[in-house]
Amino acid sequence: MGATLSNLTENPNGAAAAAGPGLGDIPESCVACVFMNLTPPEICNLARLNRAFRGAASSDSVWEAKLPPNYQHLLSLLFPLERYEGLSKKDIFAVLSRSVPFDDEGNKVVWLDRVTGGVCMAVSAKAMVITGIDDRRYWSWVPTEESRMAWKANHQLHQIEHNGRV
Amino acid sequence: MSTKKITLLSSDNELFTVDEEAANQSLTIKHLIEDTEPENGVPLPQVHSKILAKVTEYLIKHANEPDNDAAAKEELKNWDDKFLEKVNHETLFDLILAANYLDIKGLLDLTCQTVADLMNGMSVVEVRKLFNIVNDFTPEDEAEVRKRRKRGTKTIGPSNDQANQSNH
Repeated sequence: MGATLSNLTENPNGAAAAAGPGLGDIPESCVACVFMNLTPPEICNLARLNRAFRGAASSDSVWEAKLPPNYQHLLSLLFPLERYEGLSKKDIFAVLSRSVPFDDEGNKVVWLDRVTGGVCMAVSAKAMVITGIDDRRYWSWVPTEESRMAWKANHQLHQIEHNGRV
Repeated sequence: MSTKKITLLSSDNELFTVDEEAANQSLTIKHLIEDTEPENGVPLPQVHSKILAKVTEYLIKHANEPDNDAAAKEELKNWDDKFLEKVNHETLFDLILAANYLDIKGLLDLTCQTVADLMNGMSVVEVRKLFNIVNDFTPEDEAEVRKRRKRGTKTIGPSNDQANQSNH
């Protein structure tokens, strides 16, 4: 009884909504349409609502829209084909949303932003051509936990010139 | 020049008349007219008059969508916002079902966007409560989800609210 009462007071539609169709009754294709307007973390969260939501939260059409348009190209650059062949679009998003190194030394990484799906890239100072980087009077390599690359270059000059190639 | 009028028949036998151009935004209605050429109105047995009234209101407003007129587009967007402002959840879901059945892309996008905005930032428990969603997962489903989580295949979602997973 207590639960029923609290349901009535907390639901703005009151008893009418309990009798009529609810969000849980809309078909999976419509849930997918709702997901088009939500971020990947929201979608994964709402996948736990019920079966229709979980189904839509795994559908390729939803995740294809969250992936960047050039994701196939990214995959072919970063991984051998057998690593991503046959993966669902959702799993591809999961694979790409972790930092993936794209050079031999691991000084350049690429990943997808989990909220926007945008392609992000980080290039360590070690992978850059920095004029005078070996001159210890001005530069020093400092180990750090703040940087994802574990090292940072400290400079004591105002003028910096650097070139990088990705 | 007079435009052709189309009559729509709701599930409770109420008639609605709109211009053909407005009606054609619904691909279902468009195909029904082309295929069956109904004389006494297009029968829509899945749509109640209460919902069909809202749907035709949308179709009439969107019949002549502006292409490049920024001011007109802005006006239409404001109209869309107001159109669903005072709609309760039950009507909103009926409108989604109707837009889906009638295949009206603009209306489906608009209603789904509205639901997404309502759910944004809510926990699973809150959404279930607000929208009366019944947890229809079987214990086997839940076990499968937990297994996937353990294997680490699901890495995108928030991991800090596993407590919300069951009990509802």
